[in-house]
Amino acid sequence: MFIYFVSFLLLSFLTNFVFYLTSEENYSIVWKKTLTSTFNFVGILLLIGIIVFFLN
Amino acid sequence: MEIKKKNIYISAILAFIFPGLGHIYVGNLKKGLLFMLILVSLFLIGLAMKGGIIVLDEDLFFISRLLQICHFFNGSMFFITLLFSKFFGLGIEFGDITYSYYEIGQLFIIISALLNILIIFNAYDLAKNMFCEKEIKE
Repeated sequence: MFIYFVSFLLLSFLTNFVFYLTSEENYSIVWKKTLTSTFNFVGILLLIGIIVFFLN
Repeated sequence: MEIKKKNIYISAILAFIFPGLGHIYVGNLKKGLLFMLILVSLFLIGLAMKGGIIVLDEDLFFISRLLQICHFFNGSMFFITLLFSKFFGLGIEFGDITYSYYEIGQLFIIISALLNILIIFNAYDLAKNMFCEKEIKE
């Protein structure tokens, strides 16, 4: 389970980073947007995890 | 400042051959190296988790075909792995479906390929914008 979580976190971070790197020129904006998106993704992932846990 | 004209097709083809090469060709060395590092590491993590680059499906269902096309967009990494595996008889191109994290490995390789498509378009776009800037200045 831990490997799944770390993998999704890594994938989310790198995907967002590459995505924002292609569209932005300023690196500080790229970092800021990447971290915000990754944080949102982790939040949604945890929320889904909690819902599934309680439904079971 | 004079902007050197870059061929849009060469930038796209270079980006396909190896992720990041298109950006280096256009003159964006830092971004090119970052893309190279990220995509190669994603691909290698995928292979380490025993994900495959050849889809095993005898009927070749529609989604499997799409998946196979997607794997192809890893460019030279796909062909190098294939050749390396065939040459040394490793059989890593199919992955190991019995391994616990096979799907995650597969996911890493697929995302590396999909990001490469984005990078190909970005390199093409950058070269095209430079071409337009040159025309405007002239």
